[in-house]
Amino acid sequence: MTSTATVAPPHTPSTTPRARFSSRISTNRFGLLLVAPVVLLTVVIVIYPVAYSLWISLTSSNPITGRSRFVGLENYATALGSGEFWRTLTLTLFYVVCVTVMGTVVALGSALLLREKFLGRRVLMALIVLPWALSTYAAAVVFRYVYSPQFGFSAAVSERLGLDPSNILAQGSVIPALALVHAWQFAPLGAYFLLATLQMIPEDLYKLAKVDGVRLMGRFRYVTLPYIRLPMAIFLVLIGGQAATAFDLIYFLTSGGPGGSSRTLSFFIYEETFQNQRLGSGAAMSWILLVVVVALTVGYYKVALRVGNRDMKEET
Amino acid sequence: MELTRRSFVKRMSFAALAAGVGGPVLAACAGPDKGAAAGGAVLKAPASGTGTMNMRIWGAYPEFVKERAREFTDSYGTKVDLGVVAGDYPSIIQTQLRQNQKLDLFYGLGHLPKGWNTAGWLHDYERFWNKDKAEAEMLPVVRDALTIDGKLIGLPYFAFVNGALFANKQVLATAGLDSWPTTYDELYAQVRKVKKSGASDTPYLPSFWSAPYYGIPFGFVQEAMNRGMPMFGAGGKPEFDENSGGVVDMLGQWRDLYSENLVPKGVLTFQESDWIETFAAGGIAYSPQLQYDLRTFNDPAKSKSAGQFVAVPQQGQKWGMMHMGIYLTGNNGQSDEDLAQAYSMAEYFGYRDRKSGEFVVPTKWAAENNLTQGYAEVNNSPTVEKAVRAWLPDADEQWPILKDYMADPQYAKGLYHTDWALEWVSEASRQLPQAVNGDADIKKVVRTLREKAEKLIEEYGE
Repeated sequence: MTSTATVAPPHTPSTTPRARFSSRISTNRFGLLLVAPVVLLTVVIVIYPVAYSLWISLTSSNPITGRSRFVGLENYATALGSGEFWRTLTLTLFYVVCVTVMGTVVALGSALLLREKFLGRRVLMALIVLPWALSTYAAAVVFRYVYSPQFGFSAAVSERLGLDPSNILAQGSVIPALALVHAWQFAPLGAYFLLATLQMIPEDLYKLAKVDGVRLMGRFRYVTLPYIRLPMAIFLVLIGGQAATAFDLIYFLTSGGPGGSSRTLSFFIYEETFQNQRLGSGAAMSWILLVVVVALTVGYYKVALRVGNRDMKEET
Repeated sequence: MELTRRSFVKRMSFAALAAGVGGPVLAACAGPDKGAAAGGAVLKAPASGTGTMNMRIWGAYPEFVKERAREFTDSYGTKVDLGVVAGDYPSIIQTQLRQNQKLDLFYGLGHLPKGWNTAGWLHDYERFWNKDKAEAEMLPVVRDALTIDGKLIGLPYFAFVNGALFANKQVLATAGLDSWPTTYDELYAQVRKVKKSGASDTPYLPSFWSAPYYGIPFGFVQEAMNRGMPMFGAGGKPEFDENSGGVVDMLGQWRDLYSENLVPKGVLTFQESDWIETFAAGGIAYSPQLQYDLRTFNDPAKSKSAGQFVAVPQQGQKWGMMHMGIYLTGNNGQSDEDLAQAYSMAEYFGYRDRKSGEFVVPTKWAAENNLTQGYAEVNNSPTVEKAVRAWLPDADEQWPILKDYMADPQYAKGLYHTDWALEWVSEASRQLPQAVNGDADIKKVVRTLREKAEKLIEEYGE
């Protein structure tokens, strides 16, 4: 009896059909699938709320009465035709200018100081960042006591000097007073931004400028400034945008008072939306604020670039 | 584990399926439409506690509330999820109500529930098993305030006079004053005398603070009402105007107080804590304050002139007006069982302990913190009287004065029982400081406030 042994080929090709998925999904599609969750999240977290707020701004609704209707651009027209809106917008712009100027001066001054080598520089570097590390609420509480004409730091200083304690949060001075706190808190960020750039400027440039007889201000103008223009522009955009949308500091320190003297557009939007439940009006004003912030940002960049181009022309 | 295209796509398919199922599930969690549990027969008190009820409060004495909540859990079995809401309490709670969030029991103030009830965000207490008994025991002004659209809207958390006129005896003695003012005109005349005598540089601390619990609008309404000026009629109709003297003259007096530096600088940006601390620091002759803070002012740990602060008697004209906190229950479509548990918790905190039949929590509030209650039986109880007399200066003279404040106070029902009271007081908190500091013409401010009320009536209806 003979037997026939069947010998299987050593490498039989697999007869298993290829996976359905892989045959249908190309590498590009697979890539798209990978980013799909992020896209989905972006749609849910960013695009949908933004689109929804745009829709709300075109409606007039009152949750108490339950009435809701489409009003088109009426909320925008009402806001733009309201004296209160322009008053709060003007206050906002004033606040932005104050915060930006104060913040930039403090940030630049701190950065220039920290670039120098002196005893205790490292300690000072750590101290300067402290305001930035504070929560806005804590900063507001601190400055309530600093500004208080009854038992505040400023009152104590005034008394020592034999002066009458003044009300720093009075209607005429409340915006600069608030801006000072805001700048105090935000300036450390700018200081570190600028310091990083300042440390990259070759020391030889300053030496050459000195040899050429360029004075201190001239060295700042022709050596330092060209280097820090870009980080400065970024800082200005950041601090300007932050100031334009500031809310928490104002809420904790003055609640928009006295009598609306520190009622910026952000605060007005908060009141309309959350206290008065006028979602349409609040959303419309938010969009107008967005336009203002974008305009400010573009304006900052244009000015920075224009000055930069002018300097380049002068150099050539 | 290696991630292949196949395994990734499979997992994503499961995720998509889960999301498809999860969406409706989450939607279902939002609860049925408003009003599903509204109306119906009177509920029975639950035999035992089940599950967890949430309670939202503002930041006053959270430890005290926490302790009472623990006692409630021990006694009734229902767990309490207690949350302290920081910041702009009315706006935050209003937003949560609008979003249909679960709010079993939460604090409210007198001017808040009318609009919330109109919106269908609240459960009234018509189905509360002890509703009739509780109503019968409430002070008449409290019962009236808590009855909205003919229904009991909640149970009282506290009831005291906002704007009770307090005096610092030490300052008055230094100024040589020995008689109490009986009207606002006399009060302001005395304030000037105190300043002239040199006993105080800023002898008066008014309710001019504007944030965030509406100090100045409350001060405005209460002083006008106490002076006998018509303010708000039925349906919130404004009865004041810029042409008939009244409030215009009153605001003129306020501006004089401010411009003559009779009031502390910075008062317009005070917060409630500044208002209390400044008076407690001494050196001020008179101040309209929250009645319950009399204990704070006479507490040596919190006040520099403890033992010197007393309430000015009401001799014809009243000082201040009734101010009340309310326990409210949100309507998020909960079942009758859950509603009964919420009522049970409200009953324990805002009425009698069902097991002992005593006013347990209200009495503790009044005795330990001088937080007077919406029930005469609590406020006049021997326990509370003994506790108050222990710290009250000139107790034999002062105890009847404090009782008199609570006897028949003013209440701004015409304003508070409108759907738009919150919006009007917000506007008033911005307008009135401008009348005081001279930023705006007084007549214009009064006209703006009247027009605001008229516009709101037009929008909301009477």
